[in-house]
Amino acid sequence: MVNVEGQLPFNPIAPAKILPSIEWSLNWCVAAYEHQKLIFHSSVVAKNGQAILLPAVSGSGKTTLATYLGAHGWEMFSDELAIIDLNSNLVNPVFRPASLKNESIDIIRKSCPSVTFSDVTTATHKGDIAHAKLYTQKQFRTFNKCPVQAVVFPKYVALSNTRVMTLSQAEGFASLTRQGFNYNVLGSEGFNTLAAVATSCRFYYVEYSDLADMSELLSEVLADQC
Amino acid sequence: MLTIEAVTASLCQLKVEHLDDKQWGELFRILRHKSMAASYYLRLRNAGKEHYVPEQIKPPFLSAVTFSEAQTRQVKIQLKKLSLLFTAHQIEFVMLKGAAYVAAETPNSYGRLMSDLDICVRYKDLSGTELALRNAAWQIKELDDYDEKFYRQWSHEIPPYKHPFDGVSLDVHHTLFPPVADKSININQLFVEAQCGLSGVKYPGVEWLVFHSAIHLIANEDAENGLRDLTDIYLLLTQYQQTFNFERLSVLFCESGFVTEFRLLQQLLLEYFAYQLPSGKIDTEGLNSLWFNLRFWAVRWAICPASEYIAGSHQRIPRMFNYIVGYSCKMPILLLMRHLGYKSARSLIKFLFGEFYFRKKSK
Repeated sequence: MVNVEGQLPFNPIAPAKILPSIEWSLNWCVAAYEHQKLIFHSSVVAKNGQAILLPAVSGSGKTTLATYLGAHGWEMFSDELAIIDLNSNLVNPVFRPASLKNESIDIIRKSCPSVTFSDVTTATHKGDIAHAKLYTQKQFRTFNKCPVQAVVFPKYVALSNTRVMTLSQAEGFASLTRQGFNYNVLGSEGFNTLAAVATSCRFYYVEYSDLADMSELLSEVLADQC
Repeated sequence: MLTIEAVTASLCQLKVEHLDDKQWGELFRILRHKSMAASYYLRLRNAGKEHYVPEQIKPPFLSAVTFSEAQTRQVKIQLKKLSLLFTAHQIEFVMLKGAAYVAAETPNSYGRLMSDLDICVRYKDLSGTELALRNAAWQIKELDDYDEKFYRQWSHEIPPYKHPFDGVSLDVHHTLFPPVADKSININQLFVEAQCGLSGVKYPGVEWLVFHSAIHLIANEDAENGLRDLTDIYLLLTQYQQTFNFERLSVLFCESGFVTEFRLLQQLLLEYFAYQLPSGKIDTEGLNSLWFNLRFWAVRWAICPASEYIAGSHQRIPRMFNYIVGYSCKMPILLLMRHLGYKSARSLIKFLFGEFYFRKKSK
């Protein structure tokens, strides 16, 4: 059972299946207690000091995408949480493994041989879970917080060609608020930070099935060629 | 690990000058567990002692303050909505407890968290109140048959409501103490002495605020938020000291049959806050009786946070004693035995099949 300062946020689970609960508890702690930064349910990747947010609901493939990118030339800041400083509007790298589910485990095993995996925890309420470690602490320390250049809402669609749609800043702003963990808690500070991020970046909705193709596309997004 | 004395000194009396970083970490965890981190930090700030907080502990304190500010904004919106709703239905109501502090903007409202809103309506308006709430989309919280019966017959008479969109819980009272108890409080006087606050919402006069909080704290089985409630009382008493009518307070306790509770309150304030509550019309008889001292021992421990960061704080026996005495204040003996029997059976099932037996399976 995970006990956070006397609170029991999750149902008890067999000791052999505790690892995913610990990870969810860490997320729970950030969501419940961290209100000095703006937090979204989003993967974050960066390259050349510029970050892209990949916000999406569970099951959209954002962790798979972020892990693949993190093993192929991008810096994976997070597979789950975009943590943005108020006022400076910079997004923070978070040192934690990616939490892969079900088919994603084998996809990343095959496409990213450099990644270290935990044992697979089977039959959790989210299915099978494995944690993927991409970086050592030393590698991670070279990552620096950086501004958000673009926000891409990804949707994995099996066997599809990559399809890109541009969203207006207003649409992007509204969509991001729906992924906010603490946007409503932060009040005007949250609004001002999100407004600053929204007015300084571009928004896209992308359907994809090819991870390598997505990597190229996102590079073009950063280079402002998209 | 902190001692009880260190917790009393630092948490209640703000004697924080000698705390080291580790003790600050422990104190913060105790406060956050009891939902008191924000209100404590604001008390420190008001006392000019904010600079004693170590730099690494400040962000979580400030996060707690931000969260409490968000809740206060939400409560203010609900006050406005309730005011409009009940004005339209011509139902007079008075906010109680946490929401009343917000409506009155009392000093103890800053940073204070609450789990639900409490309102008091007149007995004759109970059915109209339910109708008005249902018309405004409020829904009865899901209860089992026993709990529904508990509320309908023995407690507030209306089960708690929840708003499906706002996520807010609302407890509707028509009295400050269960009607099945052998004590009664003059609710008409509560309405007469109520004052007008934010959004035109009424709240009890400050003496009533202290009285109700004390009854809720001492003549009650649940002391989970006891230290928060005692802090409320201390802040109300000290920050309104110039205008507070201590004699009126003692009369409220006297007329409602809560003289022992008043004396217990005096001892608790002395113990935790080194504050001497004036006796008003109540004498000091009975302070040496065995029963009084047993109750003080029990409630004193029940209020202390049970925490792994406070040495020897779990103390199951006085907490259980306080639980039973608290229930016995609210119920006749036969009903109490039946109620405790039900609760014990439920606890036994939890013990045998796990703490989460009654919790719904997660999706």
